[in-house]
Amino acid sequence: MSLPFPLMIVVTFVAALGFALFFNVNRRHVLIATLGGVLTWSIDYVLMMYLDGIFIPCVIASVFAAIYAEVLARVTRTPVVVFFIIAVIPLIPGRGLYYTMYNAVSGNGAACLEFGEMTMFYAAGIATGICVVTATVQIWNIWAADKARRLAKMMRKQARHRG
Amino acid sequence: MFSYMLDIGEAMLTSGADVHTVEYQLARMGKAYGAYKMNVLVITAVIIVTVTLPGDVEKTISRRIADEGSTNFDRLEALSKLCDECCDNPLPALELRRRLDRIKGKPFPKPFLYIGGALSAGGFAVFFGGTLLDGVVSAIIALFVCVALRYFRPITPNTIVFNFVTALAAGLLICVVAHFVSDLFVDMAIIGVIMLLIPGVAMTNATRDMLSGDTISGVMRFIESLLWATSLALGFMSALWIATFF
Repeated sequence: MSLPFPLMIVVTFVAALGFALFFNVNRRHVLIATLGGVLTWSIDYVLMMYLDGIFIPCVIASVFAAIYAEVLARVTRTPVVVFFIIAVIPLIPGRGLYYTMYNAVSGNGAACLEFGEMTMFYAAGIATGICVVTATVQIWNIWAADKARRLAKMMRKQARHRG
Repeated sequence: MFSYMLDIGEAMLTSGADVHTVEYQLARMGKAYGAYKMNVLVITAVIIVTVTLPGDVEKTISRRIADEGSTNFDRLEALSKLCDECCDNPLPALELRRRLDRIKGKPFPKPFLYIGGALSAGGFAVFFGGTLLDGVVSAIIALFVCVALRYFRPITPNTIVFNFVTALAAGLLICVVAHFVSDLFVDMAIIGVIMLLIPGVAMTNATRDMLSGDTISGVMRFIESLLWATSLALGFMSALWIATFF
């Protein structure tokens, strides 16, 4: 990260906007999806300054991206994946992947392992973030459906009593 | 009627939806159209639906999905809205067919593909530590990749071959440019282009699927996307290797 933070924000914005267009996100949601990417990266960047390692900041940023996507998907009635992909794209370790492969091909085992480990941490971090949010949302959905079912049953019972 | 539902499911999958979303929407739609019970199994290669109609009549239909498709979130959103609409107020079969054809007939906006590709590749080249020059070169090569996606992708047998050939050609192009422009960091320009071809959507969906309990689809998609990523890496590495001879 050679550029100062405000410039990096601009670069992230351009990159995420590019992907929103590249995947043909609906015009009305392009900016808000892009904003998700910028916010996710900013959280990752700021947390990296205060916490050690790659994994924990990446998990937290990925949890944020998933929550952002779940909330916006409900508001706009759009599939979650649309907002999630654009939000999480700045976390995808393209650089790590490239150097892992490069060092593997050049026969540089130690560097390959080092970059491979970094790439794995990012991938595992993103996966953990999705896991936490998806599981929570599913528990919530099942609970809400169950509550609605019980409520309907109670109403039927009451109607029978009155009848 | 139920075959139209499979068409919708197929179009959703090829536009970049995860398996869980497709299963959920198909089950809801079937019930809206009068099915007593819906049994939907979606994996990335096939959709199988068993509909139980009133009077214990059961009907099973399936659809093989051979095309991996290309991510098109606008189409996915339109299809999802169509499903929601049908669940609230089931459309007649003909109307549903007409609406589905209209959504499928809407072409991918060409300028968005090229502008988006150039912006994201350029943006990521700088994002990962490249200079502005790296970004510009990466953006120009990304335009080439977008042309390949549009015209070369439909005639390749599968994504593995496409990724390898495109990565090889893009890598060679970058090396040729680097030969004339000495300030260019080849690594950064390549990373920008890699981000464009990396199977991010497939990998994320695979993870989501595995965690939602759709293990078969998740694992299948995951292995597929690993193969795609490997062929991509091999393509670029071959280009760099060829470039060492000159």
